[in-house]
Amino acid sequence: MIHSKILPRNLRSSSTALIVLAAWTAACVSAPAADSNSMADMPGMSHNSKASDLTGLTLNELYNLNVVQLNVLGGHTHCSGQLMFGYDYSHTHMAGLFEGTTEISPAKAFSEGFHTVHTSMDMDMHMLDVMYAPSDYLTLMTMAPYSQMSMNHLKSDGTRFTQHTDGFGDVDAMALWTIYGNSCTGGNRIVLNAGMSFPTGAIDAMDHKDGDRAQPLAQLEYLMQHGSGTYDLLPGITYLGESDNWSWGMQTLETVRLGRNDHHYRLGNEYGGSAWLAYAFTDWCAPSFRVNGKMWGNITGADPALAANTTPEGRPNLRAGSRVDTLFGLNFYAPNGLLTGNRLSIEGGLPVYQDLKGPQLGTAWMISLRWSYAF
Amino acid sequence: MRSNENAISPQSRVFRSLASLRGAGTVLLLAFFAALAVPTQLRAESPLQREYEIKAAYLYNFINYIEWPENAFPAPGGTIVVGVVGESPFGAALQVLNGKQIKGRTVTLKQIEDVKDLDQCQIVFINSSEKARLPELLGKLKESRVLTVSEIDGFAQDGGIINFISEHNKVRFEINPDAARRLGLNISSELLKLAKVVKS
Repeated sequence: MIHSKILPRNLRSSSTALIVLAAWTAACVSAPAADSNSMADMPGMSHNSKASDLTGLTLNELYNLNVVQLNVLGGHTHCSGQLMFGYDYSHTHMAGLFEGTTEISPAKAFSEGFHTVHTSMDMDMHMLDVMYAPSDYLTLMTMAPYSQMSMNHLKSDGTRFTQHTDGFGDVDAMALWTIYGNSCTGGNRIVLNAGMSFPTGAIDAMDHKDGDRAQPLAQLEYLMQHGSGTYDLLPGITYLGESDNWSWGMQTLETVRLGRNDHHYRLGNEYGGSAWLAYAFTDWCAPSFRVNGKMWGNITGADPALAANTTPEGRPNLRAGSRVDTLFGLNFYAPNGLLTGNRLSIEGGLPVYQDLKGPQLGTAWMISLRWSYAF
Repeated sequence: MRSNENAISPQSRVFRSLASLRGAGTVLLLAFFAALAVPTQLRAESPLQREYEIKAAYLYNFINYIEWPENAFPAPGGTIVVGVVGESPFGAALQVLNGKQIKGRTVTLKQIEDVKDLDQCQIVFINSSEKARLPELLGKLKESRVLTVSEIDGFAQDGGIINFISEHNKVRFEINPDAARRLGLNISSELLKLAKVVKS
Protein backbone atom coordinates (compact mmCIF):
# COMPACT_ATOMS: atom_id res chain seq x y z
CA MET A 1 0.00 0.00 0.00
CA ILE A 2 1.39 3.36 -0.97
CA HIS A 3 1.07 6.27 1.41
CA SER A 4 0.48 9.55 -0.29
CA LYS A 5 2.64 12.56 0.23
CA ILE A 6 0.61 15.11 2.04
CA LEU A 7 0.49 18.67 3.29
CA PRO A 8 3.64 20.59 2.34
CA ARG A 9 3.45 20.67 -1.46
CA ASN A 10 -0.23 21.36 -1.44
CA LEU A 11 -0.19 24.18 1.03
CA ARG A 12 0.51 26.88 -1.48
CA SER A 13 -1.57 29.95 -1.33
CA SER A 14 -3.23 32.41 -3.60
CA SER A 15 -3.77 36.01 -2.61
CA THR A 16 -7.45 36.00 -3.35
CA ALA A 17 -7.99 32.94 -1.21
CA LEU A 18 -6.02 34.62 1.55
CA ILE A 19 -8.11 37.78 1.37
CA VAL A 20 -11.32 35.77 1.61
CA LEU A 21 -9.92 33.69 4.44
CA ALA A 22 -8.50 36.66 6.31
CA ALA A 23 -11.82 38.50 6.16
CA TRP A 24 -13.66 35.42 7.26
CA THR A 25 -11.22 34.65 10.11
CA ALA A 26 -11.43 38.27 11.27
CA ALA A 27 -15.20 38.02 11.26
CA CYS A 28 -15.03 34.84 13.32
CA VAL A 29 -12.59 36.27 15.83
CA SER A 30 -14.51 39.51 16.26
CA ALA A 31 -17.88 37.82 16.31
CA PRO A 32 -18.19 37.04 20.01
CA ALA A 33 -17.85 40.66 21.04
CA ALA A 34 -20.06 41.98 18.29
CA ASP A 35 -22.63 39.35 18.95
CA SER A 36 -22.66 40.01 22.68
CA ASN A 37 -23.86 43.51 21.98
CA SER A 38 -26.54 42.40 19.60
CA MET A 39 -27.80 39.81 22.04
CA ALA A 40 -27.99 42.35 24.82
CA ASP A 41 -30.34 44.32 22.63
CA MET A 42 -32.70 41.42 22.18
CA PRO A 43 -35.59 41.38 24.59
CA GLY A 44 -35.74 37.61 24.75
CA MET A 45 -32.15 36.63 25.17
CA SER A 46 -29.61 38.66 27.10
CA HIS A 47 -26.05 37.38 27.01
CA ASN A 48 -24.15 35.95 29.92
CA SER A 49 -20.61 34.65 29.62
CA LYS A 50 -21.29 31.73 31.95
CA ALA A 51 -24.77 30.47 31.12
CA SER A 52 -27.53 31.07 28.63
CA ASP A 53 -30.22 33.35 30.00
CA LEU A 54 -33.62 31.93 29.08
CA THR A 55 -35.65 34.18 31.37
CA GLY A 56 -36.89 36.20 28.39
CA LEU A 57 -38.84 33.19 27.16
CA THR A 58 -42.51 32.90 27.99
CA LEU A 59 -43.89 30.12 30.14
CA ASN A 60 -45.23 28.39 27.03
CA GLU A 61 -41.89 28.65 25.25
CA LEU A 62 -40.08 27.11 28.22
CA TYR A 63 -42.73 24.40 28.40
CA ASN A 64 -42.00 23.40 24.77
CA LEU A 65 -38.22 23.79 24.85
CA ASN A 66 -36.20 20.65 24.15
CA VAL A 67 -33.44 19.83 26.63
CA VAL A 68 -31.43 17.92 24.03
CA GLN A 69 -31.25 19.54 20.60
CA LEU A 70 -32.98 17.18 18.19
CA ASN A 71 -31.79 18.57 14.90
CA VAL A 72 -28.24 17.39 14.40
CA LEU A 73 -28.26 16.65 10.68
CA GLY A 74 -26.93 19.12 8.14
CA GLY A 75 -25.42 22.39 9.32
CA HIS A 76 -26.63 22.26 12.87
CA THR A 77 -25.51 24.90 15.35
CA HIS A 78 -24.85 25.08 19.09
CA CYS A 79 -25.63 27.18 22.14
CA SER A 80 -23.13 29.82 23.20
CA GLY A 81 -20.00 28.31 24.74
CA GLN A 82 -20.73 24.76 23.68
CA LEU A 83 -17.85 22.68 22.38
CA MET A 84 -18.44 19.48 20.43
CA PHE A 85 -16.04 16.80 19.24
CA GLY A 86 -17.16 14.36 16.59
CA TYR A 87 -15.88 11.35 14.74
CA ASP A 88 -17.40 10.14 11.48
CA TYR A 89 -16.72 6.87 9.78
CA SER A 90 -18.21 6.33 6.37
CA HIS A 91 -17.92 3.57 3.80
CA THR A 92 -18.90 4.10 0.19
CA HIS A 93 -19.07 1.29 -2.31
CA MET A 94 -18.94 2.25 -5.96
CA ALA A 95 -19.71 -0.21 -8.69
CA GLY A 96 -21.01 -0.31 -12.25
CA LEU A 97 -20.08 1.84 -15.23
CA PHE A 98 -22.63 4.45 -16.19
CA GLU A 99 -23.19 6.50 -19.32
CA GLY A 100 -25.93 8.94 -18.52
CA THR A 101 -28.48 7.07 -16.47
CA THR A 102 -27.70 3.74 -18.13
CA GLU A 103 -25.32 1.17 -16.75
CA ILE A 104 -23.05 -0.23 -19.44
CA SER A 105 -20.90 -3.32 -19.60
CA PRO A 106 -17.09 -3.23 -19.50
CA ALA A 107 -17.17 -4.65 -23.06
CA LYS A 108 -19.04 -1.54 -24.24
CA ALA A 109 -16.43 0.67 -22.55
CA PHE A 110 -13.60 -1.29 -24.22
CA SER A 111 -15.34 -0.82 -27.57
CA GLU A 112 -15.11 2.95 -26.99
CA GLY A 113 -11.31 2.73 -26.97
CA PHE A 114 -10.48 2.30 -23.28
CA HIS A 115 -8.00 -0.44 -22.44
CA THR A 116 -8.77 -0.60 -18.72
CA VAL A 117 -11.94 0.07 -16.74
CA HIS A 118 -12.73 0.29 -13.04
CA THR A 119 -15.18 -2.34 -11.89
CA SER A 120 -15.59 -1.22 -8.27
CA MET A 121 -14.15 1.01 -5.61
CA ASP A 122 -14.40 1.05 -1.83
CA MET A 123 -13.68 4.13 0.20
CA ASP A 124 -13.40 4.30 3.99
CA MET A 125 -13.31 7.77 5.39
CA HIS A 126 -12.52 8.73 8.98
CA MET A 127 -13.23 12.31 9.88
CA LEU A 128 -12.62 14.25 13.07
CA ASP A 129 -14.53 17.45 13.60
CA VAL A 130 -14.69 20.14 16.21
CA MET A 131 -17.50 22.65 16.65
CA TYR A 132 -17.42 25.62 18.98
CA ALA A 133 -20.08 28.27 19.46
CA PRO A 134 -18.73 31.65 20.63
CA SER A 135 -22.34 32.84 20.75
CA ASP A 136 -25.86 31.54 20.27
CA TYR A 137 -25.68 32.95 16.73
CA LEU A 138 -22.28 31.75 15.54
CA THR A 139 -20.84 28.25 15.42
CA LEU A 140 -17.34 27.56 14.11
CA MET A 141 -16.54 24.17 12.72
CA THR A 142 -13.49 22.41 11.34
CA MET A 143 -13.20 18.94 9.81
CA ALA A 144 -10.15 16.82 9.02
CA PRO A 145 -10.67 13.66 6.93
CA TYR A 146 -8.49 10.60 6.42
CA SER A 147 -9.44 8.23 3.63
CA GLN A 148 -8.48 4.75 2.48
CA MET A 149 -9.37 3.79 -1.08
CA SER A 150 -9.16 0.60 -3.04
CA MET A 151 -10.07 0.33 -6.73
CA ASN A 152 -10.54 -2.84 -8.75
CA HIS A 153 -9.66 -2.79 -12.45
CA LEU A 154 -10.39 -4.95 -15.46
CA LYS A 155 -8.17 -4.83 -18.52
CA SER A 156 -9.39 -5.54 -22.03
CA ASP A 157 -7.31 -8.75 -22.06
CA GLY A 158 -9.37 -10.01 -19.13
CA THR A 159 -6.74 -9.55 -16.39
CA ARG A 160 -7.71 -7.85 -13.13
CA PHE A 161 -5.76 -5.84 -10.59
CA THR A 162 -6.33 -3.64 -7.56
CA GLN A 163 -4.72 -0.38 -6.51
CA HIS A 164 -4.82 1.23 -3.07
CA THR A 165 -4.08 4.56 -1.50
CA ASP A 166 -4.64 6.23 1.83
CA GLY A 167 -3.98 9.66 3.22
CA PHE A 168 -5.34 12.85 4.72
CA GLY A 169 -7.88 14.81 2.73
CA ASP A 170 -8.63 18.51 2.53
CA VAL A 171 -9.31 20.23 5.85
CA ASP A 172 -12.51 22.28 5.91
CA ALA A 173 -13.19 25.24 8.17
CA MET A 174 -16.63 26.77 8.35
CA ALA A 175 -18.60 29.46 10.13
CA LEU A 176 -22.33 28.85 10.63
CA TRP A 177 -24.19 32.08 11.22
CA THR A 178 -27.77 31.93 12.46
CA ILE A 179 -29.55 34.78 10.71
CA TYR A 180 -33.05 33.81 11.79
CA GLY A 181 -34.10 32.15 15.05
CA ASN A 182 -31.82 31.14 17.90
CA SER A 183 -29.60 28.05 18.24
CA CYS A 184 -30.23 27.81 21.95
CA THR A 185 -33.99 28.00 21.94
CA GLY A 186 -34.42 25.82 18.83
CA GLY A 187 -37.48 26.14 16.64
CA ASN A 188 -37.25 27.46 13.09
CA ARG A 189 -33.81 28.71 12.15
CA ILE A 190 -31.94 29.80 9.04
CA VAL A 191 -28.19 29.42 9.07
CA LEU A 192 -25.69 30.84 6.59
CA ASN A 193 -22.69 28.62 5.94
CA ALA A 194 -19.41 30.28 4.97
CA GLY A 195 -16.48 27.94 4.69
CA MET A 196 -13.24 27.19 3.01
CA SER A 197 -11.55 23.94 2.09
CA PHE A 198 -7.77 23.95 2.39
CA PRO A 199 -5.63 21.89 -0.02
CA THR A 200 -4.09 19.61 2.60
CA GLY A 201 -5.00 16.40 0.76
CA ALA A 202 -2.61 14.79 -1.70
CA ILE A 203 -3.10 15.14 -5.44
CA ASP A 204 -0.10 12.96 -6.24
CA ALA A 205 -1.24 9.64 -4.75
CA MET A 206 0.43 6.75 -6.58
CA ASP A 207 0.49 2.98 -6.61
CA HIS A 208 2.34 0.39 -8.67
CA LYS A 209 1.25 0.17 -12.29
CA ASP A 210 -1.30 -2.60 -12.80
CA GLY A 211 -1.12 -3.23 -9.04
CA ASP A 212 2.11 -5.17 -9.63
CA ARG A 213 4.85 -4.45 -7.10
CA ALA A 214 7.45 -5.22 -9.75
CA GLN A 215 6.19 -2.32 -11.84
CA PRO A 216 7.07 1.33 -11.19
CA LEU A 217 4.76 3.72 -9.32
CA ALA A 218 2.15 5.48 -11.43
CA GLN A 219 -0.12 8.44 -10.74
CA LEU A 220 -3.59 7.31 -9.70
CA GLU A 221 -6.73 8.65 -11.36
CA TYR A 222 -8.55 11.79 -10.20
CA LEU A 223 -11.07 9.76 -8.24
CA MET A 224 -8.33 8.18 -6.14
CA GLN A 225 -6.73 11.48 -5.11
CA HIS A 226 -7.33 12.69 -1.56
CA GLY A 227 -7.64 16.40 -2.18
CA SER A 228 -8.59 18.97 -4.75
CA GLY A 229 -5.25 20.75 -4.64
CA THR A 230 -7.08 24.09 -4.64
CA TYR A 231 -8.55 26.43 -2.07
CA ASP A 232 -12.29 25.95 -2.36
CA LEU A 233 -15.11 28.13 -1.08
CA LEU A 234 -17.94 26.36 0.72
CA PRO A 235 -20.98 28.65 0.73
CA GLY A 236 -24.37 27.36 1.76
CA ILE A 237 -27.61 27.96 3.56
CA THR A 238 -29.45 25.72 6.00
CA TYR A 239 -33.00 25.75 7.28
CA LEU A 240 -33.65 23.90 10.54
CA GLY A 241 -37.03 23.33 12.14
CA GLU A 242 -38.41 21.35 15.04
CA SER A 243 -41.70 20.86 16.76
CA ASP A 244 -42.34 18.56 19.71
CA ASN A 245 -40.73 15.29 18.65
CA TRP A 246 -40.20 16.13 14.99
CA SER A 247 -37.15 17.78 13.52
CA TRP A 248 -36.52 18.63 9.89
CA GLY A 249 -34.29 20.68 7.69
CA MET A 250 -32.98 21.55 4.27
CA GLN A 251 -29.52 22.50 3.24
CA THR A 252 -27.73 23.61 0.12
CA LEU A 253 -23.94 23.52 0.21
CA GLU A 254 -21.70 24.33 -2.72
CA THR A 255 -18.03 23.76 -3.42
CA VAL A 256 -16.56 26.49 -5.59
CA ARG A 257 -13.01 25.72 -6.71
CA LEU A 258 -10.51 28.55 -6.98
CA GLY A 259 -7.66 28.54 -9.50
CA ARG A 260 -5.80 25.42 -10.53
CA ASN A 261 -3.65 23.07 -8.51
CA ASP A 262 0.01 22.11 -8.91
CA HIS A 263 -0.98 19.45 -11.42
CA HIS A 264 -2.57 22.05 -13.70
CA TYR A 265 -6.21 21.16 -13.24
CA ARG A 266 -9.24 22.20 -11.22
CA LEU A 267 -11.92 19.77 -10.14
CA GLY A 268 -15.47 20.64 -11.12
CA ASN A 269 -17.61 22.74 -8.82
CA GLU A 270 -20.14 20.83 -6.72
CA TYR A 271 -23.71 21.86 -5.98
CA GLY A 272 -25.38 19.88 -3.23
CA GLY A 273 -28.78 19.93 -1.56
CA SER A 274 -30.38 17.77 1.08
CA ALA A 275 -33.60 17.58 3.06
CA TRP A 276 -34.28 15.48 6.12
CA LEU A 277 -36.91 14.56 8.66
CA ALA A 278 -36.47 12.85 12.03
CA TYR A 279 -38.90 11.75 14.70
CA ALA A 280 -37.82 11.21 18.31
CA PHE A 281 -40.10 8.43 19.48
CA THR A 282 -38.31 8.27 22.84
CA ASP A 283 -36.08 10.67 24.79
CA TRP A 284 -33.03 8.87 23.42
CA CYS A 285 -33.74 7.63 19.92
CA ALA A 286 -34.84 9.29 16.67
CA PRO A 287 -34.99 7.55 13.28
CA SER A 288 -34.36 9.83 10.34
CA PHE A 289 -34.88 9.94 6.59
CA ARG A 290 -32.77 12.06 4.30
CA VAL A 291 -32.67 12.83 0.59
CA ASN A 292 -29.35 14.03 -0.70
CA GLY A 293 -28.80 15.46 -4.17
CA LYS A 294 -25.55 16.50 -5.78
CA MET A 295 -24.32 17.82 -9.15
CA TRP A 296 -20.70 18.21 -10.09
CA GLY A 297 -18.82 19.39 -13.15
CA ASN A 298 -15.99 18.14 -15.31
CA ILE A 299 -12.36 18.83 -14.57
CA THR A 300 -10.84 21.95 -16.12
CA GLY A 301 -7.33 21.35 -17.41
CA ALA A 302 -5.66 17.97 -17.05
CA ASP A 303 -3.01 16.26 -14.96
CA PRO A 304 -0.03 15.63 -17.32
CA ALA A 305 0.85 12.60 -15.19
CA LEU A 306 -2.38 10.96 -16.39
CA ALA A 307 -1.81 11.61 -20.10
CA ALA A 308 -1.01 7.95 -20.75
CA ASN A 309 -3.81 6.65 -18.55
CA THR A 310 -6.17 4.44 -20.53
CA THR A 311 -9.11 4.37 -18.10
CA PRO A 312 -12.24 6.52 -18.28
CA GLU A 313 -11.41 7.76 -14.74
CA GLY A 314 -8.22 9.29 -16.16
CA ARG A 315 -10.21 11.55 -18.53
CA PRO A 316 -10.97 15.03 -17.19
CA ASN A 317 -13.97 15.39 -19.53
CA LEU A 318 -15.68 12.27 -18.13
CA ARG A 319 -16.09 13.40 -14.53
CA ALA A 320 -19.35 15.36 -14.40
CA GLY A 321 -22.58 13.95 -13.09
CA SER A 322 -25.49 14.21 -10.75
CA ARG A 323 -26.91 11.84 -8.15
CA VAL A 324 -29.78 11.60 -5.70
CA ASP A 325 -29.39 9.39 -2.62
CA THR A 326 -31.97 8.31 -0.07
CA LEU A 327 -30.68 7.55 3.40
CA PHE A 328 -32.23 6.09 6.53
CA GLY A 329 -30.70 6.72 9.92
CA LEU A 330 -30.99 6.01 13.60
CA ASN A 331 -29.87 8.73 16.00
CA PHE A 332 -29.24 7.95 19.65
CA TYR A 333 -28.46 10.42 22.39
CA ALA A 334 -28.05 10.31 26.14
CA PRO A 335 -30.10 13.03 27.83
CA ASN A 336 -28.78 12.16 31.28
CA GLY A 337 -26.60 9.76 33.25
CA LEU A 338 -22.97 8.87 32.70
CA LEU A 339 -23.22 9.19 28.93
CA THR A 340 -24.79 12.65 29.00
CA GLY A 341 -23.72 14.66 25.95
CA ASN A 342 -22.94 11.61 23.80
CA ARG A 343 -24.66 11.02 20.49
CA LEU A 344 -24.41 8.12 18.09
CA SER A 345 -25.88 8.06 14.60
CA ILE A 346 -25.97 5.33 12.00
CA GLU A 347 -27.10 6.14 8.50
CA GLY A 348 -27.15 4.09 5.34
CA GLY A 349 -28.56 4.54 1.88
CA LEU A 350 -28.27 4.13 -1.83
CA PRO A 351 -28.72 6.22 -4.94
CA VAL A 352 -32.14 6.35 -6.51
CA TYR A 353 -30.90 8.34 -9.47
CA GLN A 354 -27.51 8.90 -11.06
CA ASP A 355 -26.70 10.54 -14.36
CA LEU A 356 -22.99 10.37 -15.11
CA LYS A 357 -20.90 11.67 -17.98
CA GLY A 358 -19.22 8.42 -18.74
CA PRO A 359 -18.20 5.74 -18.81
CA GLN A 360 -17.92 6.63 -15.13
CA LEU A 361 -18.02 4.49 -12.00
CA GLY A 362 -21.39 4.76 -10.27
CA THR A 363 -22.20 4.64 -6.57
CA ALA A 364 -23.84 1.49 -5.19
CA TRP A 365 -24.42 2.20 -1.50
CA MET A 366 -23.03 4.05 1.49
CA ILE A 367 -23.14 3.70 5.25
CA SER A 368 -21.88 6.01 7.98
CA LEU A 369 -21.43 5.95 11.71
CA ARG A 370 -21.11 9.13 13.70
CA TRP A 371 -20.24 9.71 17.35
CA SER A 372 -20.16 13.12 18.95
CA TYR A 373 -19.71 14.48 22.41
CA ALA A 374 -20.79 17.94 23.45
CA PHE A 375 -19.69 19.51 26.72
CA MET B 1 1.17 28.24 -32.18
CA ARG B 2 -0.70 28.57 -28.90
CA SER B 3 1.24 27.57 -25.82
CA ASN B 4 -0.23 25.42 -23.06
CA GLU B 5 -0.35 28.48 -20.83
CA ASN B 6 -2.72 30.12 -23.30
CA ALA B 7 -5.14 27.27 -22.76
CA ILE B 8 -5.49 28.22 -19.10
CA SER B 9 -8.43 30.43 -18.25
CA PRO B 10 -7.89 34.11 -17.43
CA GLN B 11 -9.25 33.47 -13.92
CA SER B 12 -6.57 30.83 -13.40
CA ARG B 13 -3.78 33.11 -14.63
CA VAL B 14 -4.86 35.75 -12.13
CA PHE B 15 -4.65 33.26 -9.31
CA ARG B 16 -1.25 32.07 -10.40
CA SER B 17 0.15 35.55 -10.69
CA LEU B 18 -1.13 36.38 -7.24
CA ALA B 19 0.32 33.27 -5.66
CA SER B 20 3.12 35.15 -3.97
CA LEU B 21 2.39 34.75 -0.29
CA ARG B 22 3.49 31.14 0.07
CA GLY B 23 2.93 29.83 3.56
CA ALA B 24 0.58 32.57 4.69
CA GLY B 25 -2.40 30.28 4.09
CA THR B 26 -0.86 27.80 6.50
CA VAL B 27 -0.48 30.51 9.11
CA LEU B 28 -4.12 31.55 8.76
CA LEU B 29 -5.27 27.95 8.93
CA LEU B 30 -3.29 27.48 12.14
CA ALA B 31 -4.74 30.74 13.47
CA PHE B 32 -8.21 29.40 12.85
CA PHE B 33 -7.42 26.21 14.76
CA ALA B 34 -5.90 28.26 17.57
CA ALA B 35 -9.10 30.31 17.75
CA LEU B 36 -11.03 27.08 18.07
CA ALA B 37 -8.65 25.57 20.58
CA VAL B 38 -8.57 28.55 22.96
CA PRO B 39 -12.13 29.83 23.12
CA THR B 40 -12.27 32.80 25.42
CA GLN B 41 -15.71 32.08 26.80
CA LEU B 42 -15.54 28.30 27.09
CA ARG B 43 -17.88 26.80 29.64
CA ALA B 44 -19.58 23.52 30.21
CA GLU B 45 -22.76 23.28 28.14
CA SER B 46 -24.12 19.77 28.34
CA PRO B 47 -27.77 18.76 28.17
CA LEU B 48 -27.57 18.79 31.98
CA GLN B 49 -26.48 22.42 31.97
CA ARG B 50 -29.26 23.30 29.53
CA GLU B 51 -31.79 21.52 31.71
CA TYR B 52 -30.85 23.75 34.63
CA GLU B 53 -30.88 26.85 32.45
CA ILE B 54 -34.49 25.98 31.66
CA LYS B 55 -35.29 25.31 35.33
CA ALA B 56 -33.70 28.61 36.37
CA ALA B 57 -35.84 30.41 33.78
CA TYR B 58 -38.91 28.64 35.14
CA LEU B 59 -38.12 29.82 38.68
CA TYR B 60 -38.01 33.37 37.36
CA ASN B 61 -41.20 32.92 35.34
CA PHE B 62 -43.10 31.42 38.29
CA ILE B 63 -42.84 34.79 40.06
CA ASN B 64 -45.20 36.24 37.46
CA TYR B 65 -47.78 33.54 38.04
CA ILE B 66 -47.76 33.34 41.87
CA GLU B 67 -49.26 35.84 44.28
CA TRP B 68 -47.71 35.97 47.70
CA PRO B 69 -49.56 37.45 50.66
CA GLU B 70 -48.33 40.92 51.65
CA ASN B 71 -46.69 39.61 54.81
CA ALA B 72 -44.42 37.32 52.72
CA PHE B 73 -42.23 40.34 52.00
CA PRO B 74 -40.42 42.25 54.76
CA ALA B 75 -40.74 45.56 52.88
CA PRO B 76 -42.51 46.80 49.74
CA GLY B 77 -40.31 47.23 46.67
CA GLY B 78 -37.57 45.15 48.24
CA THR B 79 -36.21 41.85 47.07
CA ILE B 80 -37.47 38.46 46.07
CA VAL B 81 -35.08 35.95 47.58
CA VAL B 82 -34.52 32.63 45.81
CA GLY B 83 -32.87 30.21 48.22
CA VAL B 84 -31.22 26.89 47.43
CA VAL B 85 -31.06 24.12 50.01
CA GLY B 86 -28.22 21.63 49.51
CA GLU B 87 -25.53 21.74 46.87
CA SER B 88 -26.86 23.82 43.98
CA PRO B 89 -27.28 21.74 40.82
CA PHE B 90 -27.70 24.91 38.73
CA GLY B 91 -24.07 25.85 38.34
CA ALA B 92 -23.94 29.25 36.63
CA ALA B 93 -27.49 28.91 35.35
CA LEU B 94 -29.06 30.41 38.49
CA GLN B 95 -26.65 33.36 38.54
CA VAL B 96 -28.45 34.92 35.57
CA LEU B 97 -31.42 35.62 37.87
CA ASN B 98 -29.36 37.62 40.34
CA GLY B 99 -30.27 41.30 40.23
CA LYS B 100 -33.13 40.94 37.75
CA GLN B 101 -36.16 43.16 38.31
CA ILE B 102 -39.59 41.59 38.38
CA LYS B 103 -42.88 42.85 39.79
CA GLY B 104 -41.02 45.91 41.11
CA ARG B 105 -38.62 43.80 43.14
CA THR B 106 -35.02 42.66 42.70
CA VAL B 107 -34.21 38.97 42.61
CA THR B 108 -31.42 37.93 44.95
CA LEU B 109 -29.97 34.47 45.49
CA LYS B 110 -29.20 32.82 48.77
CA GLN B 111 -27.52 29.54 49.64
CA ILE B 112 -29.39 28.18 52.67
CA GLU B 113 -26.93 26.79 55.23
CA ASP B 114 -29.26 26.94 58.24
CA VAL B 115 -32.97 26.03 58.23
CA LYS B 116 -33.80 29.13 60.21
CA ASP B 117 -32.87 31.17 57.12
CA LEU B 118 -35.68 29.53 55.10
CA ASP B 119 -38.17 32.18 56.25
CA GLN B 120 -36.06 34.91 54.61
CA CYS B 121 -36.85 33.50 51.17
CA GLN B 122 -39.90 33.75 48.91
CA ILE B 123 -38.82 30.78 46.77
CA VAL B 124 -36.83 27.81 48.04
CA PHE B 125 -35.37 25.19 45.72
CA ILE B 126 -34.65 21.95 47.55
CA ASN B 127 -31.97 19.88 45.85
CA SER B 128 -32.38 16.10 45.51
CA SER B 129 -29.39 15.64 47.83
CA GLU B 130 -31.74 16.74 50.64
CA LYS B 131 -34.33 14.03 49.99
CA ALA B 132 -33.77 12.46 53.40
CA ARG B 133 -34.35 15.83 55.10
CA LEU B 134 -37.52 16.58 53.14
CA PRO B 135 -40.01 15.97 56.02
CA GLU B 136 -37.91 18.20 58.29
CA LEU B 137 -37.60 20.99 55.71
CA LEU B 138 -41.28 20.97 54.73
CA GLY B 139 -42.18 20.89 58.43
CA LYS B 140 -40.12 24.05 59.02
CA LEU B 141 -41.88 25.75 56.11
CA LYS B 142 -45.38 24.73 57.21
CA GLU B 143 -46.15 28.16 58.66
CA SER B 144 -44.16 30.16 56.10
CA ARG B 145 -45.15 32.00 52.91
CA VAL B 146 -42.47 30.29 50.81
CA LEU B 147 -42.94 28.73 47.38
CA THR B 148 -41.19 25.37 47.58
CA VAL B 149 -39.73 23.91 44.39
CA SER B 150 -37.77 20.72 43.87
CA GLU B 151 -37.01 17.87 41.49
CA ILE B 152 -37.39 15.00 43.95
CA ASP B 153 -39.75 12.19 42.95
CA GLY B 154 -43.01 12.57 44.91
CA PHE B 155 -42.08 16.04 46.23
CA ALA B 156 -45.47 17.59 45.39
CA GLN B 157 -47.36 14.57 46.77
CA ASP B 158 -45.32 14.90 49.99
CA GLY B 159 -46.46 18.48 50.54
CA GLY B 160 -44.10 20.50 48.32
CA ILE B 161 -45.68 22.99 45.89
CA ILE B 162 -43.89 22.67 42.52
CA ASN B 163 -41.84 19.72 41.35
CA PHE B 164 -39.86 19.61 38.08
CA ILE B 165 -40.25 16.47 36.01
CA SER B 166 -38.77 15.31 32.69
CA GLU B 167 -41.21 14.52 29.92
CA HIS B 168 -40.38 13.84 26.27
CA ASN B 169 -37.07 15.68 26.33
CA LYS B 170 -38.71 18.71 27.98
CA VAL B 171 -38.82 20.15 31.50
CA ARG B 172 -42.37 20.03 32.83
CA PHE B 173 -43.71 20.44 36.35
CA GLU B 174 -46.23 19.14 38.88
CA ILE B 175 -48.12 21.49 41.18
CA ASN B 176 -49.86 20.75 44.42
CA PRO B 177 -52.40 23.63 44.63
CA ASP B 178 -53.64 22.55 48.07
CA ALA B 179 -50.14 22.87 49.49
CA ALA B 180 -49.89 26.37 48.00
CA ARG B 181 -53.29 27.38 49.33
CA ARG B 182 -52.36 26.24 52.85
CA LEU B 183 -49.43 28.70 52.80
CA GLY B 184 -51.57 31.52 51.42
CA LEU B 185 -50.02 31.46 47.93
CA ASN B 186 -52.29 32.00 44.97
CA ILE B 187 -51.33 30.18 41.77
CA SER B 188 -52.66 31.55 38.50
CA SER B 189 -54.86 29.37 36.36
CA GLU B 190 -52.45 29.86 33.43
CA LEU B 191 -49.70 28.13 35.38
CA LEU B 192 -52.03 25.39 36.57
CA LYS B 193 -53.15 24.77 33.00
CA LEU B 194 -49.62 23.71 32.00
CA ALA B 195 -48.94 21.76 35.20
CA LYS B 196 -49.69 18.21 36.15
CA VAL B 197 -51.88 18.84 39.19
CA VAL B 198 -51.28 16.49 42.14
CA LYS B 199 -52.70 16.17 45.64
CA SER B 200 -51.00 15.47 48.94
